[in-house]
Amino acid sequence: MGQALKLDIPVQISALSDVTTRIEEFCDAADIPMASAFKVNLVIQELVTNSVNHGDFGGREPEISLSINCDGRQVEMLFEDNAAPFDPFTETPALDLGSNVSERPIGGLGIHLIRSFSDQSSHEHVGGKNRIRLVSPVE
Amino acid sequence: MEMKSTKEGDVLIFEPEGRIDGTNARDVETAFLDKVRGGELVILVDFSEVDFISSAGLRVLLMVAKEVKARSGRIELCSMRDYLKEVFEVSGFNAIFQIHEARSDGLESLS
Repeated sequence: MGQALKLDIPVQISALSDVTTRIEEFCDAADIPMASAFKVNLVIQELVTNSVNHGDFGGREPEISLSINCDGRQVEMLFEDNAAPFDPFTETPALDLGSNVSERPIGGLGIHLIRSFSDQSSHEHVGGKNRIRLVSPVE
Repeated sequence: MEMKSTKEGDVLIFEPEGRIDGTNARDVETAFLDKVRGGELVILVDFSEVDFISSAGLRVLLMVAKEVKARSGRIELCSMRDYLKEVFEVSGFNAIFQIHEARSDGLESLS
């Protein structure tokens, strides 16, 4: 049987703890093994952090919402915010993984982790909202 | 989060617990940098009680590593869960940090 979770997330870093707890409860209920649950939690945390830190809400009341579905084989995540259109998958440069510790830039890691831990990732801007869809396998 | 540290010979062993993420990155960074600036330049971070790290946590480790390296010190990691090790690998952080299986391996490497 499928499991689903829907959340409206306050647009602040302090919301991360509560979001994490809700996702952990969801993953437990959906019987998702720890390593896969970790990846789901990680990519959501990175998305929320990006919206909070970098989203341009331009005077609008900031909104973030999340829905997660699991059919036992994969987890589908739909993440929406009402910030200005921004596609993290095309507008963020690829990370230079080869550089050593002194040269390594501090930023860009979050999107890299989202890409790395999702089988599918896409962005569209519809109805005034950024909608990011991610699919992660249950392993 | 709790940030225990113990000294074994010249090696300072950090034992963070729980999560290293956006909610506590600043506290963890301060805890690390206080020690480094206080002269602790041979550091082993024991991950056995860490169950979550995000890019904010990786960023803290990178900043600490830069600070340690600038002072000609060494920082290595040990006892990491497999799924956390995967985060280090996909981020290329396994090229920045030596990750040891056990604390004893880390201590041997740093001593």
